[in-house]
Amino acid sequence: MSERIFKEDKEAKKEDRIRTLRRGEEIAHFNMLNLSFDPWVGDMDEWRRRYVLHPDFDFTENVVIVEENGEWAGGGTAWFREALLKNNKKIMVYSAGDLYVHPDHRGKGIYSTAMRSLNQLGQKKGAALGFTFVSIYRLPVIALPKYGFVGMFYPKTHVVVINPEKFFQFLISRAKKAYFPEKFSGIMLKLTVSFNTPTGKREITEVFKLEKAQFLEVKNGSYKKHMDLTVKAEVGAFLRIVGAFYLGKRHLLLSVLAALLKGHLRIRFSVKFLKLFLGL
Amino acid sequence: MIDEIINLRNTIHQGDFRLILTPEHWNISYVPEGLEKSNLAIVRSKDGRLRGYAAYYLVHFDHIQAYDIREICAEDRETQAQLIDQIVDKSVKDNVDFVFAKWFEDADKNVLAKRGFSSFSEAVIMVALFNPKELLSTLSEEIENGEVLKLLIKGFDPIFVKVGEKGIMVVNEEKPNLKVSTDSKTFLKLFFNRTSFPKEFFRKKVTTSDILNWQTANRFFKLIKQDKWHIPMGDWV
Repeated sequence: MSERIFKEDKEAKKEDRIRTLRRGEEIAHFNMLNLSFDPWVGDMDEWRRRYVLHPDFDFTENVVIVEENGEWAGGGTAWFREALLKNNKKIMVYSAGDLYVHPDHRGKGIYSTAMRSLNQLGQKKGAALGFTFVSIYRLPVIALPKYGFVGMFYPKTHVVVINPEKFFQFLISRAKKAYFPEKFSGIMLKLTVSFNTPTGKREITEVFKLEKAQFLEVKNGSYKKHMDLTVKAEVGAFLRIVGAFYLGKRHLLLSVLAALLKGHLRIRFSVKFLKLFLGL
Repeated sequence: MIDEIINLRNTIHQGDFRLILTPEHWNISYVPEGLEKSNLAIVRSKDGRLRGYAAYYLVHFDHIQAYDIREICAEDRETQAQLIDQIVDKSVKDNVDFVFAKWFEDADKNVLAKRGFSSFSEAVIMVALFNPKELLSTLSEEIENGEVLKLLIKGFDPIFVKVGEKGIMVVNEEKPNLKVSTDSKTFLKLFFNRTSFPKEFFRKKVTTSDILNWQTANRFFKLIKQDKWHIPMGDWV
């Protein structure tokens, strides 16, 4: 199949060129995904599963690449499927995914160009609807409404923990990537999470210090007994509160209140923390 | 086996909005490591009939591993519970660190909560409307009597639809009895049964040219709405 050049995107900048992936660029595309997502979700086998083995999928048609001044700057992918309506009749739908921008080209409208090109491709191939599945923690949930996407379904994630120690460390490693307001620097936090595992109940406690907007673990015994914030939560409540944090203040407040009322969360804080929290 | 799985899904989710599952899609999306080696939980009746299945596979996050349940399809709650028990038992035996599933129905929460699962929000499915005429034409059927409604969705050409008692039919331009205006976001929410016409009518997200004839608009949205939706995680690439 020959390369497809899109010329209809009137909003694309003059120096942007939109094309599709060429044969021979498979590894370069995989590397680009890894570089942009840091890292991408899978290995080369997973890439092959999505981009080569997937039925009715041709990467020379469905993988859009945006070039800026001749450099590969970003892109995205459209997977097409047939869907059944309630009367058992078919429509074509498309699913947008793997939207990425090379770190050197961020903030230049590459994401917009890629997304518009994917929608254009979707319409050209006869899709009546477009779908995308995104995390509420990431940027696309804020960006996609600009391209006609509406939040429609909010599937719950259900988790049962088998190995609490490793799961706790996993949560902490994720939390360390988050940014906390500088004003909380120096705050000592004691976090206890309880787990209801298939083999019984477990509780894990760890102490952290917030420094330069980052969470830092404090080794046992090397911290003062005084804590500015002590949080004891059941893992489900903890995960719900973390999720609500990304959904906005109202959700956060409601999830904290619900967890407190159900007895799934206990919080103790110092006057110093309260003053910082209220900005006094 | 794959045919049994596809038949069971089509029977249980008959009438739901869903993607068409072919054997090729099943192989790639649910059992990429091959059916024989896959983690497929199944429950059969005494006479050997398939009553439910669950497809799940091992995924790695940083230094921990989890079983990701891609789909559970069961004809009743008891079968669903048996499938979850099979997965949790295997997770303990295989020493994976956690098990997770993403799905939609609140009714399933109790089955999961009883087995120690915690639930939280972290994902959203977003939908965009590209061709409302194609959607409505696919839902069209031959009807003789009905009122003609001119549907104006912001950003799209007008669509003329004859609204009968039990069905709709997309027609060529003709003098309408009623004009209904809305935006694509509200249209999609009504189409996927995430809201109701009276609610959106009172919020003025849907307006009609003849307020006394709002029942026709109400019937139109009732007739086109997709009551249920089934797109399990495995169907997403």
